Amino acid sequence: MRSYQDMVFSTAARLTGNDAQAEDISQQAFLKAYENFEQLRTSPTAGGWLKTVVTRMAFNHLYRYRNRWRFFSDLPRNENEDEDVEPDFEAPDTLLAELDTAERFALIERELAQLPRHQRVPLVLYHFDDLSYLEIAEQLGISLAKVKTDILRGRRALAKALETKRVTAS
Amino acid sequence: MTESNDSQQKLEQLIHRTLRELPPRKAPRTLEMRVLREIERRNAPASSSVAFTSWPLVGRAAFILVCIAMAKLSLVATSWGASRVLEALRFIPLNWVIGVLVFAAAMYAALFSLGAIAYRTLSIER
Repeated sequence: MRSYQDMVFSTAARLTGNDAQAEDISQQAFLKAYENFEQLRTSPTAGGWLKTVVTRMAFNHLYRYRNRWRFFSDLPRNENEDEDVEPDFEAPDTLLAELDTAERFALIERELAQLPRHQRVPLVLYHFDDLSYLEIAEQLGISLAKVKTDILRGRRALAKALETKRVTAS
Repeated sequence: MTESNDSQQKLEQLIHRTLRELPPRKAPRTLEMRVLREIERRNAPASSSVAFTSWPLVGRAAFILVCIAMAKLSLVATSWGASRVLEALRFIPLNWVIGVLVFAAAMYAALFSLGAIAYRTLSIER
């Protein structure tokens, strides 16, 4: 358990953006692993199994009311809503490079957790889990266009928030 | 490639680099303890599965006394209630009794049908 607990907790914490919920989900994932201990004991893919289980549990937790959420998200919207109407954000070469490493990591984690759920979840799946836009759309049960828009907006929001912190810190 | 695509790609690379350099979050110290405690709780025999013969003597005696008292009480209550009902039925015309029974059966059937329709409409067809 000790070898995997940081990975399991990180996965849950980054998806939910909430440490207390992440701890509950991690506990459930390890209990599930305990139930399947005989199969996992000798399996070389135990880490991957745990990652899949914790991701699925985090989804279940986040989208407990998925049908209701999907119903509202599929309501007819303004035609231009999915289009990229925001002005382009001129990304710097690095973010918070002047801060020391621990401080920078803590700030990035905090800002990531503060993104709205519909931006944070696809962003985490894309950048940490290397899922494609299409795979994310299938997993979340939303349209490909929405996934792309949410990820783009999430990136911009995160970069802007970190830029603001840099200005405040300097 | 347009300027907009260029800047989006640059942003994607920047965020990818920034996020991928993050180390795994440290799990709280309480996590391991919580998991072990829960496993221990699950492995402990449930109080309901402990055999009656292994209960403490006082607990067994109290349980038997309570059971006897409850059995006696329910017998007394049943016989008292039955005698009252039979006494009351003597003064109620038979047609009324049948009417009430038919009405109750009809209401039960109506509620059962409504419940089944509501279940099919709200749950299965969703």
